[in-house]
Amino acid sequence: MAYVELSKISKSYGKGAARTEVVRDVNLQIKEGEFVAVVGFSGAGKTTLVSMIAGLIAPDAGVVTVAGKKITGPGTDRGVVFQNYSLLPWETAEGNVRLAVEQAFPKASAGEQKDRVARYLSMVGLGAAGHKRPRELSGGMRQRVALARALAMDPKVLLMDEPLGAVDALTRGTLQTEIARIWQADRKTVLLITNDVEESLLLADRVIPLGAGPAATLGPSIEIDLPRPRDARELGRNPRARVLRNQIVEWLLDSAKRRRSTRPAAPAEVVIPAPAEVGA
Amino acid sequence: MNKAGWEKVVRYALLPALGLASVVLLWSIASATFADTLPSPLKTWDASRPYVVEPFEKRGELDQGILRFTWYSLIRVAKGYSIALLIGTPLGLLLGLSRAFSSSLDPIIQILRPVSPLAWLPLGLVLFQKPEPAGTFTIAMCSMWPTVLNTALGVRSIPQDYINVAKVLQLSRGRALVKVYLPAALPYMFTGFRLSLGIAWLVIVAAEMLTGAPGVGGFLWQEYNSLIYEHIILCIITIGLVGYGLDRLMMLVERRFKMA
Repeated sequence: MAYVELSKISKSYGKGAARTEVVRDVNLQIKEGEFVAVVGFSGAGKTTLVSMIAGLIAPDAGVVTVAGKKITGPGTDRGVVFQNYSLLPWETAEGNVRLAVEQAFPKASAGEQKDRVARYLSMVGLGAAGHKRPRELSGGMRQRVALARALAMDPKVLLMDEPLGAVDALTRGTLQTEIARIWQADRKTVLLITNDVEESLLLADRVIPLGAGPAATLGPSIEIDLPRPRDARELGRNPRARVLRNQIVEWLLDSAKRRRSTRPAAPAEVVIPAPAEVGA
Repeated sequence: MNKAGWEKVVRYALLPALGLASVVLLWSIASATFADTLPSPLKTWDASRPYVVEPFEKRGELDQGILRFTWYSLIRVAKGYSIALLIGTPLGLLLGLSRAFSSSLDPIIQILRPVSPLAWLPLGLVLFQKPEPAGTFTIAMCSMWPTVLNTALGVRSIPQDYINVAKVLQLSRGRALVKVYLPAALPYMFTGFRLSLGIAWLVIVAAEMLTGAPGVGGFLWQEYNSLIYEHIILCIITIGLVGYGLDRLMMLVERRFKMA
C-alpha cells in the first residue's frame, strides 16, 4: 500500500498560446520508509512535482494523497528541503530550526523544544554553529541547517528538491554520505529530486527517471538493489551499479531524443557520468 | 603620509572646502554687486552671532537661540512624523498584502501624494481650529506617503522562498507577519522611514510660517517681516544642516537592519 501516491497528475503554467504543460499524467507511488529518487533534466518539472506534494501548488488534474489523505495544502507532516536553502537570513541557524519545531510541537515545553533544536543541529554536524546567521555559513552548512529544519519537525515524509544542487562538488559528496547515514538511522519516507544520476544511485531504493519537458512523464521504476551502506568510489567500479546507471541514462537520453524529434529544442542538462568515470 | 592618504585628504577635506569657499565667494560678490538686498556673509555672521554662540538662550517668545528654535521644530516634526509612521506602516502592510486593498486605494494615494503642505495646512486649521494640531496634521499628511509606498513595495518584493517557508511551516497569519513578512520588508520600510523624515523636516518651515509658531520656520518668517534678512540665511543654513544630520542618522539605523 502506497504511503505517498500521485495519480494522473497534470500541471500547466500560463494561459492561452503561452500555456505550457509541465508534467502530464504522472503516476508515482512511494511505500512507507522508502527512499525514492526522481532523476531528470533541469526544467523538466521536478520542482513542480515536489511543490504539488508539499501542497504549495495544486495540480490541474489528478490527486496527491499522503497516508490515504488528499493533499489540499502544506502541512508539518511533510518536511521540505529546497534547492536554494530558503533559510530566513534574519534568524540564526538555531532560530530557523526553532521556528519549525515550535510549529510542529506547539504543546512541548520551551525546554523540550530547545533540546530538540540542539539535537537536530548536532545531527547534521552543526552543534557549535547554532548562533550563526545564514550569511556566516557556507552553502553546505546552510543546506545542513535546512535539512535539520525539515527533520526536526519529525515529518512523515521528507521532500528534497535538488538539495545539493547549489553546493560545491566536494561538499556534495560529504552531504550525500550524511543524508544516507541519517536516513539509515530513522528511515523516513523520502522523495529526492535530483539531476545527478550518481547521487540517486548512492541514496535511493528506487530511481524513477523523469523525461524531458514540456509535458514530462515519468519513466520506468528502477529498483536499486545495491547493498547499503554504499560508497561513492566503490559504486564507480561496481558492475551492477554500471548496469543500473546505463538503464537510467539511456532512458533519459532516449526521452530527450524523442522530444527533440517532435519539438524544436528541449532544455537538456543532466549530470551524466563521464565514460572515464563509469569505467574507472 | 602615503599617496592614498593624500588622495583622501584632497577628496574629503580639500575639495569640499574649496567648493564651500567658492560658494561663499560668489555669495559675497553677488551681495556686493547686483543683489544689494542680499546680506553679505560677514554681515550674516555678525547678525547671527548672538543666536549661534548662545544657542539655547531665551530672550523672548520669538527671540531665542537657534538650537532652541530647532528643538521646538524637532518636537513638532517628531509628533507629525510619529503619526505618519503609525498610520503609514500598517496602511503600507495592508496595501502590500492585499491586492484588492491595493487596487482600491492606490489611485487615491497617487492623487494625495503630490499635494503641497501649503494646501494641507488650511484644511488642518479648518478641521482642528488651532494652529498646533493643524501643523502636526500637515506634517503627517505630507510625510506619510514614502512610508506607505515603500512598506507596500517591501511586502510585495518578499522572495517567494520566504513565503514558501511560511507556507510549508504552516505559520499563522500573525506569526508569518512577525517572523517572515516584517523582517523581510524591513530594509524597504526603513528607506520609507528615512524619506518620510526628510519630507517631515521639509514641511516644518511651511507649517510654522503659516501658523507663526516658535521654531526655525516661524523665526525665519518673523525675521523676514522684521526685515532682518541675515537671519533668513541663518535659518536656511540651520534647516539644511539639521536635515542632513537627520538623514545621516536614519541611514546609520537603516544600515543596521540591512542583512544578506
